[in-house]
Amino acid sequence: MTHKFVLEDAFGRVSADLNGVPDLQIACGHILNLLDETKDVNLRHLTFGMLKNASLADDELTAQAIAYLSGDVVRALKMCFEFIDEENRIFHISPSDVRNAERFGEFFHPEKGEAVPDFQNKVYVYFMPSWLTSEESDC
Amino acid sequence: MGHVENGLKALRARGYSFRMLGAHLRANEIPSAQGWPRLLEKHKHDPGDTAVTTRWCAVLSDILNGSVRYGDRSVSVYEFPDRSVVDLAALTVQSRVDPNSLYATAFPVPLSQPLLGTLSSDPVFTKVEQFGSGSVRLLACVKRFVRSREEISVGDLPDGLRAQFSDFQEVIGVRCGYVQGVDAIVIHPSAKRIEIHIDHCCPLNTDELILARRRYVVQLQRWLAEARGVPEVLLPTPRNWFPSIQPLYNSPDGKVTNLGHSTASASVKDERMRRRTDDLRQEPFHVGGLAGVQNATNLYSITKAWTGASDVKTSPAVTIPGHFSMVGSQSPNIDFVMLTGCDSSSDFDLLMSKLL
Repeated sequence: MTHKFVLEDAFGRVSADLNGVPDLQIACGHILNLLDETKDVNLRHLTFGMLKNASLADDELTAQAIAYLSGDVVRALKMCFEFIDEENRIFHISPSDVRNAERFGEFFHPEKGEAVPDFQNKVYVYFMPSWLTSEESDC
Repeated sequence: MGHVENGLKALRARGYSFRMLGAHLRANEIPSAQGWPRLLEKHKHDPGDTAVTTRWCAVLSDILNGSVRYGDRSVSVYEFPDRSVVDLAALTVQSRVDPNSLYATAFPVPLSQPLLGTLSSDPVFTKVEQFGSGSVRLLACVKRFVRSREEISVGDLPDGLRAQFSDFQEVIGVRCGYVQGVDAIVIHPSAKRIEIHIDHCCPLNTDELILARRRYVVQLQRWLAEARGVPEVLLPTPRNWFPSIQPLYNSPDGKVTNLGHSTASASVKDERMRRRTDDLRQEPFHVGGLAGVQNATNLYSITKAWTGASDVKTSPAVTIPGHFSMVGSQSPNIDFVMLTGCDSSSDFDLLMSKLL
């Protein structure tokens, strides 16, 4: 789906669906404006902090806005994951690998193949617009 | 233990990239799994069909043979004004292999930890290979020491010990072990060049690398002196790679993933891309930054990657690992390069073609 189509759709849904929650509607609008006004190359690694700055909202409202915008209905944002090991190497991991790790309580280093202790504290979330793809992962 | 499981354990002992192994297994329709423990469990028993077992073992053997020759390594290059010494080196190494050594009889399969523990840390020349071009590769197996740090869960300790550590929030253990490295002296008479490859099957700092390399330099010099009947033959100074950093950056092919540089505006930058597939030279902050300092910056380290030619998607990469202090030196010198992510001779040759 194209950038323009996704954003038009997202703005429309925010306007229609979130009338009863004006704070959330405004926060979502600010984030969508960020996606609209920024070049794609500068949207490839959006942290929670960046989205919070854009939303002009507190942590809780920002999290709700992100959840809404990355949900099944709007799909303007997608959630991506990276694992940073003890040598500060960065590995992009798929949402399915994260789900498996959570389900089985075990995560294996993508390069070393060995179990990673305390992996929950070494896997980080970031976001991208849904229309961007990454060669390295299914994010 | 099955033959396939043995093959996988040999790769695990070498620290072979699990990501690349997964790609190989999928490409060859061999069952894969997440993580070594699950993979080994899956292949605990060989397939019932002997032909399938043979095919799978052949795939794993190819991977292992590629790994010991082209796996992550530092390469030092010695260039000669004429080929006489290089020709002599190619001849003299032919008779240096001990075919009866424990390493040679098991090669390329690494020896077990307990067996490695009984051996000296001296390299043992294990195999010599000759190529149609006249080049010769002399492989040496060597025991390397590794230390790993692991968190110890206080809750898992016996009662008495647990009480002793009750005031500690974290308990870290340091485990010492061995890894079998496979180094190489590679001699190219037609190119008037000798290379020394140090296998980075385990982490090696610069001092350890130089020490490992020195043993081969000294040994080769002794052999050449013997062959010539003279007291001493010295290898030339290894090639300095510092001047290659800027041309690598400037050449538009490949992707620059890491760059160290020191700007005329008095800052030191260590830049890297999060993804192996991205090129720093197109990253907006980097481009804007260079424009901001009017390109007045001195490069001191670089990692550049290319797409490999093999069926498995590899990203072989060259690293020239300098330090920011070098830009202040009149004659900065980096006398080795790191070659990583190679899975085959075509990957390795690709990198060497970019350097030489």
